[in-house]
Amino acid sequence: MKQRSLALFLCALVALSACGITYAQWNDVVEIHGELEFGTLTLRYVPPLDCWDSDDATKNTGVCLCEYTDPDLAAGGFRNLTMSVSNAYPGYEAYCEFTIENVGSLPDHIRGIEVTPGAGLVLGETYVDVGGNPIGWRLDDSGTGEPRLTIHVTADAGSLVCRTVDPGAQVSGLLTVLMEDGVEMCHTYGFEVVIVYD
Amino acid sequence: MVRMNRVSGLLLVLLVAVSLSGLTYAHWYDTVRIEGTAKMAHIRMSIISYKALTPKKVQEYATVNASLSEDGHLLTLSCSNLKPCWYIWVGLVLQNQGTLPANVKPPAYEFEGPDGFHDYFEVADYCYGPYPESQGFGNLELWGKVTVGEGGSLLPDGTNTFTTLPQPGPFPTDPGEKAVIWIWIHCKATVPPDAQGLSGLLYIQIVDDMAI
Repeated sequence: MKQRSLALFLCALVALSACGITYAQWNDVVEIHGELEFGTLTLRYVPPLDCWDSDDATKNTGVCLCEYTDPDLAAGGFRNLTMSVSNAYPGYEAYCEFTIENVGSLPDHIRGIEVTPGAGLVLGETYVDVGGNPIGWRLDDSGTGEPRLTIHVTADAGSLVCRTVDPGAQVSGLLTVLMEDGVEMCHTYGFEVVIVYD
Repeated sequence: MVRMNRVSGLLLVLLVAVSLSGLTYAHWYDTVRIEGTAKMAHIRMSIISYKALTPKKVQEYATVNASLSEDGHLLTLSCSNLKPCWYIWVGLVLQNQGTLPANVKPPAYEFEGPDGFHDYFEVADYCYGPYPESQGFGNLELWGKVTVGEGGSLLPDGTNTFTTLPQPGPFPTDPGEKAVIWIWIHCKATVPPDAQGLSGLLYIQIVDDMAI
């Protein structure tokens, strides 16, 4: 009786050991590492950039300069376009042809252009293309309300707004600044144009 | 009390949700900018030198004082004891001191005095140039050695003997360039007797005119 009990105990012990070994053999940790990467929305200014004015072919009196500033070292391209006009006069027009590229990985949709007049100016009339999207802004004297500058931002003669720029694609835009008849001598006018996209 | 806690909790959750959606939206919205400045030119034609010449015969009975405004735009002649056939030749050296090409053309004239004063005068003007900025006028035929009166280079009848021909109309000057204008102002012989011997002011005003 005593021997039978011992044998049974031994059997149970062996069985348990075998189970343990089997379990140990079949039990392991498998790790799955995953990275979830989001796409990026990035419109940037890229070359080519060109500027000229209305009197280049005649007296070449006014001077127009354009440059890209604030480089995006991570994505490439530039965040800012600076246009400087000097020795301008009534009727003078300055042009700047710029290029924007989608350097991100998702399509960019240009959803608006915001124009902020500089000191002494207020936003006057806004001009739109056939689709009703804005292409031009007149800036008036904040005191008298007389027109001072008219700015146009266009692409292919239409608005930049409501355009979708696919990754890697470029859009050529044109910035035009017209000095109205009422511009004052020796005066400096400023403005800021913000192109908003999502 | 429990209900209050529940409402507060709900508000908190809502607040967090709104903040998160704002953060997410901001993450997916970006801009590029254009900054523009436009500096305007200025147009400025100024008188940098002048002469007011009368013959000895006129000097015997009349006086003329000339003064130039600070901005070089207005020459004022104060004339006394005006009589028929009184005349003066006024020479101006102009310089384009602006940043734009500007036209040289006859000035604007105004006469200040008794009623009808301006009707007693007639004017003729001659414009010469343009001359480069470095041009000196001391030896120039139509500036350095001019004489007024019979036998001189500036004649009583409003003509002159310069070999240099005047420009037929307004002509452009680039910034820095100079020009000469000679003006003959003459008191007509038809001045009524009661107007003779009067004094008055004559204004010669430069007119800025962009040449673009």
